[in-house]
Amino acid sequence: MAAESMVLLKNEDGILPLDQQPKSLAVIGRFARSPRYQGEGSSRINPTQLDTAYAEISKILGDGTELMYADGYSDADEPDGELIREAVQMAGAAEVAVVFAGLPAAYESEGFDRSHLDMPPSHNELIEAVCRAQPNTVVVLSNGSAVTMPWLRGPKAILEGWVTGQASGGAVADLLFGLVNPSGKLPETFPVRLEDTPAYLNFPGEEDKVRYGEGLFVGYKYYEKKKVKPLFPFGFGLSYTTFEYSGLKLSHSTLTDKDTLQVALKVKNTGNVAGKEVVQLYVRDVESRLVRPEKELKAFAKVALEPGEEKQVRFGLSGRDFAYYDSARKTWHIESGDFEILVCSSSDDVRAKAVVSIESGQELTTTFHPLLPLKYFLNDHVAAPILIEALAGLPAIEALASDGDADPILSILKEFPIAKLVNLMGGVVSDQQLDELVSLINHKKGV
Amino acid sequence: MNARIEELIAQMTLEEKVSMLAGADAWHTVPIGRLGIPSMKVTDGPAGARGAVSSGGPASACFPAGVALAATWAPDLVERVGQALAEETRAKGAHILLAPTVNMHRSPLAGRNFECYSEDPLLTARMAVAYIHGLQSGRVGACIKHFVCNDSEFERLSISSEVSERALREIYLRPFQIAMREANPWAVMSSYNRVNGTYASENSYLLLDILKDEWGFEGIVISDWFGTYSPNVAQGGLDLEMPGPARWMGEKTLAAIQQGEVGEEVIDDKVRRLLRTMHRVGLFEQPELHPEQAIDNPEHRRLARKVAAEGIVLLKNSDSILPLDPDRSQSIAVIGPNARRPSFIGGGSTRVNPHYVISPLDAIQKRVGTPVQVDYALGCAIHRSLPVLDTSWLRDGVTIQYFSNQDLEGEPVHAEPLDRLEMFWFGDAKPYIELANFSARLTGVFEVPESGDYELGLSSSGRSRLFIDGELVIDLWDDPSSRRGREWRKRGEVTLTAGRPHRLQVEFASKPAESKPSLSEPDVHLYRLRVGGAPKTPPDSIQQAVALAAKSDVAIVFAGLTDEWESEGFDRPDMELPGDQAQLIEQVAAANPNTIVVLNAGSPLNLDWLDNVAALVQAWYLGQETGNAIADVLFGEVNPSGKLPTTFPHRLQDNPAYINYPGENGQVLYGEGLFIGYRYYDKKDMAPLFPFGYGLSYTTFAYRNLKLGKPAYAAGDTIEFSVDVENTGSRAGQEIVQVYLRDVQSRLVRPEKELKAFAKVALDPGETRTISFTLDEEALSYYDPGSKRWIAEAGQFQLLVGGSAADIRLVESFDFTGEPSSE
Repeated sequence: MAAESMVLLKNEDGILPLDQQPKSLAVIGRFARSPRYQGEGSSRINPTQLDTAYAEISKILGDGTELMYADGYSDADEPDGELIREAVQMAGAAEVAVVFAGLPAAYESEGFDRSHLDMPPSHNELIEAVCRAQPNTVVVLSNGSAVTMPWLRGPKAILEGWVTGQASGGAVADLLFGLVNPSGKLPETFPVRLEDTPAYLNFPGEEDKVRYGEGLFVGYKYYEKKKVKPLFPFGFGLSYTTFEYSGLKLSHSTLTDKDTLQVALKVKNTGNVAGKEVVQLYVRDVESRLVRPEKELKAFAKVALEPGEEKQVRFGLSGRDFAYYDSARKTWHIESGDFEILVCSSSDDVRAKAVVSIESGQELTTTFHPLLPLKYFLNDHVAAPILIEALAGLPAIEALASDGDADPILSILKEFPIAKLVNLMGGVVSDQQLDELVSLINHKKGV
Repeated sequence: MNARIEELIAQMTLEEKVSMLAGADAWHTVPIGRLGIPSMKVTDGPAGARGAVSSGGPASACFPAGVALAATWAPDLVERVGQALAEETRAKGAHILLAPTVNMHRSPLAGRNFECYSEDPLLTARMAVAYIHGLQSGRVGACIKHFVCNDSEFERLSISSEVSERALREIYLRPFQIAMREANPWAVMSSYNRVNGTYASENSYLLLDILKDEWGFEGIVISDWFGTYSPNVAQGGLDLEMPGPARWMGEKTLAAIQQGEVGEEVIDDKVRRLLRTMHRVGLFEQPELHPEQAIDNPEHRRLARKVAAEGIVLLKNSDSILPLDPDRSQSIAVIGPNARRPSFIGGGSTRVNPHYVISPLDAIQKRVGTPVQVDYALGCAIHRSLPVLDTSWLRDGVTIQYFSNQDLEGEPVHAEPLDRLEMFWFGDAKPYIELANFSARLTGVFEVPESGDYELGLSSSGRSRLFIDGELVIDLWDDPSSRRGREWRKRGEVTLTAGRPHRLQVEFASKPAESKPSLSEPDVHLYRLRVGGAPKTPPDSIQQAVALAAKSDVAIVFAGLTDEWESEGFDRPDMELPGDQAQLIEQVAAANPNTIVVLNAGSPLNLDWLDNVAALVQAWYLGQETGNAIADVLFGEVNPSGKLPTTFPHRLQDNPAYINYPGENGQVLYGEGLFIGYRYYDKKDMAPLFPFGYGLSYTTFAYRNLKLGKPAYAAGDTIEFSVDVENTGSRAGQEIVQVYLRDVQSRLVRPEKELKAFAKVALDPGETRTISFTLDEEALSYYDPGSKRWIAEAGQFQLLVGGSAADIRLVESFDFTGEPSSE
């Protein structure tokens, strides 16, 4: 379980998995011996047994390897020069250094929020210093949510180990030495910095209120909408093997809102080791009446593949997977139009896409009223002809219906509520007549 | 005077009182002859006094748009504009000018940004205060608008701006509040939109609780035109419904009083405010309405030019390519549609019919000496609808004859000259015709500057047709292709010869004979006729411009928007330059490294080509002196000193309102809260393309010696400080010194820094001046929604002084021992 949840974020020159028989290996960082393996607060328990990464690594390595260990940091936030010097010396002397760092328990817990995304300076400086001395450095992180990585370019590999419980030490060791191939993917976006996060302006709130000012645009939906590059995108994670996507097929090219769309594709392990790929399916609404995210996750599958093996992956999407919630009408709505089915290895790694056209049987129950802008009447196939017929005496009404975009004056009029348009034109229609007209439209629409 | 007002109220019948609460027509209030209560006249708008006739009326001076005024950061100049506008308003026989506009630049796409000052409430307030002082010193009332949160045009007559109390108070209401306190405008215009669910024109929280009770406003609240939506306006704090006749504050209000639903004292209060306003504008001393006059005042010309030049912002000037030497032998390629057809103001109610507009091409040709060769190329056309036929092509103008029937029969009842081939017939503009039953014939003779193919266009909301040399070219009179026998607009093509006179004849009739409305007999009061004409743009137009640029020493491209692209009434879809302008700039810049781009636009644009051009001049909309002001800066007559009143982002996605703009389902959430403009870019630590307060000069400035009077201040103290600024270059220039304040720690969230003061200082080369500032406790305050008041919290504050929001040169801290943080 723990091994499957860990996410390999970086792996330059294929430094991982590590050779099981190196001459020397430096394990650095107190988390290797006193692991940060669980969250604080109500999720805290007393484990029956507790692995440490250091012990598990030493079990895997043969007697031929010189296994070194240095604390690297104390419990204090401030870097301890002496501990760092010792760690650097050890790392420099070894073939490979594995640094265990992350967020101490005091940094994140139920009951309070973090005020920043940084790891303790003592951890960050240690990583920087070790990477300067040892090019073959691997960083293993223990933390419950995103952290900033000012040292990102330093280590050759980064393994996000989360807080993965009593067996976390064993899981890390299995992954480092390739006994298990990493297959976790990020369930949240890692931002470059706190300022980039969607809730930043309004978090944590004040005066007993926190405004969700970003609206729908939580997580990757925000980064995509604002075109802000994160440190690591949602759904991202590396493997010791590679996967190829092919043969994306949709059961329908057009679909009603009652149908189920079958999506099938093939995924092949094109590398040399067995592995698991998390295939992600996102849906993008090409054009919508209401604002929608660039794309939204609708399905995913985790597929285990032997080297060279290819498997069919299938998803079923129902109408609801294309729907948005219309808060004015208090209902979910499926809109007719084109939708893109995006099959991805992470949210920013689209491997295949196809388009399905939805012919929704759901009528929007627009209740027309005199203060609704003209454009809504003109865009409705029931309301438009009634309105045009009724207001035929008004100058420009047909022009508005037919070619409102070319002329700036028409652009202005289209924003006018029809009651106001009628005022502007000199009160052609009385309030009562207008109410009757609108009632007629609503009646024809079955509202 | 109060006694006289009370006396009048005591003599008025209830019916008379109610009759005053809505206009008599589009621009006048209802007089009460029996009591000698005259009619008060109001007129648009912020850049000039237009008068009652929206087209074809007497011409007016056109001053720079609001955003350009704000870019001067010079309240003294803006006050002089206000003074001039008082004279302009009087020349149109009006008593109240519907200005200034103090909504905020929330999205770069908002149609009315050009008319609004800034993204910062303090800069906006300083401009509004100066403008109102100037205007009202001439005894013309200001009508500050639009109250409030009308910060985009999208569905503006129905949308609800959903805004938090703090953002409302600290950002959107703030300019109104400061203007109330410091300049006491005599009128406020309620906005079209809803605010947190309730229409602004009937929003008692805004109009009664805040404006009238809390701020003590004693003037009148006027509705935006047609911006009244229910009988609630009477109880909601509105005083005057416009235009008349009344929709709600007439018989409906009368009935509500008679049924005891509305107290008569509510009406008395409105009447009292109206009478007070009439007294303030001098109506009781001079009750007669004066005819509208076109007075082209040379003083106003000079002022318009000076203000326009000071509003120009120099954004880029590689290798000091600017200023150009007007006397050095060189060839200058002037390129772009806006060079010849000046884009001088945005669209909507700000637009006036100007006495004249100087085009950049004309101004440059006049400026340079004989050794300079100036050539012009269009490059590309950017009209959205065909531009109105150029009146300078007309030999002796155009005459319009009116007929009191729909078939141009009999003798005309009236004839007059026309100076623009665009007509609106609306309200009581033409007393000699009945709008529902008239026809008109326009005749004139014109010559085109170049022979070739021309496109002509006609758009009308009645029947119309166009003849050239007696031949029917466009027929919107009896078009069998249309179901009801008419279309909105049509184009035709003709080949015209330069130097040869062509006869133009356009006929118009107000109502299509065959219309048969199904609901009621129409009594339509709005008609429009527009005659367009332009040479057909040749397909190699860009290549011609590029060839000209390639053989010239310098290329100046005039690009940007026009009133067809940036206007009241609609927002822009994106930040792109319309038409092929971006391509034109790219290609000209590739052909000539000395390419200078001058932009006319009221809002930021996408400037992807910025790295490739040598200089960039932001010239907004500069009014009638557009060309002269730009030439003044290009040739160094004026050292540019304007600074951006709004942030220019790299791209639309960076803008703070992007996530929630324009809103949906009738609501727009101001989700960014306080973090509008630079407050957002600061907070998110994002570098914009050009920061708020940014602008280059032909000289340089150094800042030194930021000195505080004391290291600590207590409540009630005046915080005094000074800074030395030196002109370290070799030309005289003006620097806009900006003072921002940072609250180091606060109980509530605060922006990283906020503009609190600024000064424009003129310095000769080598000259140093010490500039002194003062701030009071309020400058330190935030609005606390919990306790409903402004709080200056004890603690440390920093003063940040510099030349833009991103160019802080000096920082000093002080302690404030005010109210302890109540945590």
